[in-house]
Amino acid sequence: MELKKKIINKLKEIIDPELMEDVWSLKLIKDLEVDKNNKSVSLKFRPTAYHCPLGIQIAMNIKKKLLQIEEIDNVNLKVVDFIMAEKANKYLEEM
Amino acid sequence: MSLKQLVVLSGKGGAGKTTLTATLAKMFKNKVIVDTDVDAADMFILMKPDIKKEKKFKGKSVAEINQNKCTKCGKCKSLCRFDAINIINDKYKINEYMCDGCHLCEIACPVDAIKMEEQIVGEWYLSDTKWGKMVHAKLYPGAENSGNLVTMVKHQAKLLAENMDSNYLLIDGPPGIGCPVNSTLSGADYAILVTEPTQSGLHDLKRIYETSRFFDIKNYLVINKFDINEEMTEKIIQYSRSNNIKMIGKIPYDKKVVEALVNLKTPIELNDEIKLKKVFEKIFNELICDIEKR
Repeated sequence: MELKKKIINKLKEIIDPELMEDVWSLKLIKDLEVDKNNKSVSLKFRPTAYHCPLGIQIAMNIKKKLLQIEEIDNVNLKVVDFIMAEKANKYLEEM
Repeated sequence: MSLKQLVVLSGKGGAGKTTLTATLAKMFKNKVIVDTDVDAADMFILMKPDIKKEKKFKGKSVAEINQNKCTKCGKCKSLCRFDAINIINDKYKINEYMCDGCHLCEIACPVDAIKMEEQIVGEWYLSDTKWGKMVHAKLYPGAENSGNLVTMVKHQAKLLAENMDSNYLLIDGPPGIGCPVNSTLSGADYAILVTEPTQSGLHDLKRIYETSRFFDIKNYLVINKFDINEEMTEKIIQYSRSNNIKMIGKIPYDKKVVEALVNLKTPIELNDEIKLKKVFEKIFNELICDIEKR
């Protein structure tokens, strides 16, 4: 299966627990780019609401799930338009 | 111009939020109209939306007992912290209104007789109206999770507005200061607080202002039926001045407003109605002028 398709399928497994729909279908993922040669993916995650109480949790879940894909070694995930974006991005870098 | 969110709130019901929002909807250009009063949506009555897309909204799951598997051991009933399990006609039954969806009974059942069932608690819609696109919703009677449905409505409105390159989300908010109001305020840039010159009007204005302040947004004030109690109107004005809430208009008590509403119209749609039209135009102009200065 094409790598991008695998990534999207993985994103479809991540459910926003408040809206009970996956982050891909909710269009919470932007600027998805896959670099097959360097085994890396970059993407942005925008929570449904600026004060989303689950923003960090969902972001970390996205990174964790994408790292489960064999062909991926690096996930460059940035959280945007979120009150705790700075903190979230720091945690993500440390993961 | 980046997308700006303008919310109309009041802290109480019946203050005039929907009448004002629907009227402003006819004056604003390049906006998406949003109704986040999902518990008792009524803006559609004035906007007469033509629904283009309709989607179900999922709420928390609720436990269900398979009677063929249940051994009536009573473990679920003794563990349930929400008193949601009753014995009816010698059978263990879930009261879906009491069940909090915590999964404890499902985990504890020794014979796997309990499963959590997904619940549909409402619907949201994308619609066309004479005055622009509208996103609105309906929470089913007695259903919970109104704050989450508001989040969904605002999220869909934001996607639509970005897609259309709109400048504004014009949002008719819910009454009170609870969960759906907080969801409505999240990410908002401006709030118009609508009140009436009564003791409860002033009290509820203070409550909604205190709530709105947490979200660090610019607040505006509109006093509806200001002439029914000029003394109280003066008290409200004093309160707004001391809290830096900019007053952008006063709407007089006028039977023509009622006449318009019973005919499913906004006050500015009445034929030969110039006085009210000027009042609402002044509110719109004051608002836009201040927003554009920022």
